[in-house]
Amino acid sequence: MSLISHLAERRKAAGLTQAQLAEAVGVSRKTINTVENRVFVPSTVLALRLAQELGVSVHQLFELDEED
Amino acid sequence: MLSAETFSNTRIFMFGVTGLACLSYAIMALITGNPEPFSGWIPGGLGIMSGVVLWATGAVAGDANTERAMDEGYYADSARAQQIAFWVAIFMYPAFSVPLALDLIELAVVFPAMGTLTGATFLLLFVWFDLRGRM
Repeated sequence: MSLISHLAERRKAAGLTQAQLAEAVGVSRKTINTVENRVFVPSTVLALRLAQELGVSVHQLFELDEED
Repeated sequence: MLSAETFSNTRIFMFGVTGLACLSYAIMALITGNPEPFSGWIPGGLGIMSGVVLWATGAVAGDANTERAMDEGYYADSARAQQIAFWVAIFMYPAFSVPLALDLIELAVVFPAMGTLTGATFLLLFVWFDLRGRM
């Protein structure tokens, strides 16, 4: 079962670049990019930080891919 | 003050150069049959230099930028590269035992080649994972 990420849409809706979001949550731009591209599954702590920074819930950022 | 991106770029450069030096050493040792195709201090020295350069870069970049460059994505890439390099290192024993048994290669050549190949595997895989993650 994999993770569907809505991070890119939420980030763009918030008017942030990957670098700005990375700076705000204390990770590298590459990590944000890999999360958006479903290469890397973030830790619970990072998922919560991202949700907090974007003003949404974790469930609005990520959901389980039921088809896998 | 240097950014986290600069720290990451420096790390990629140093790991890449050191990895390529290790790979070149192994390939040249195997091709020429010379256990020391060029000075062993070159890959070893580059490894030490990488540590010093990254330490200095981290000191200039500051704690916050260094932590951003060494976040959970970095540790995930590093762990994945280590896992693959571990199995490559294990696999090299049976792989090199065949040419050794057939006297196609000398034991004195195999050891430095295996050592540098193990290092090159981790370093170059890490560089590949990091670069791929940025695209």
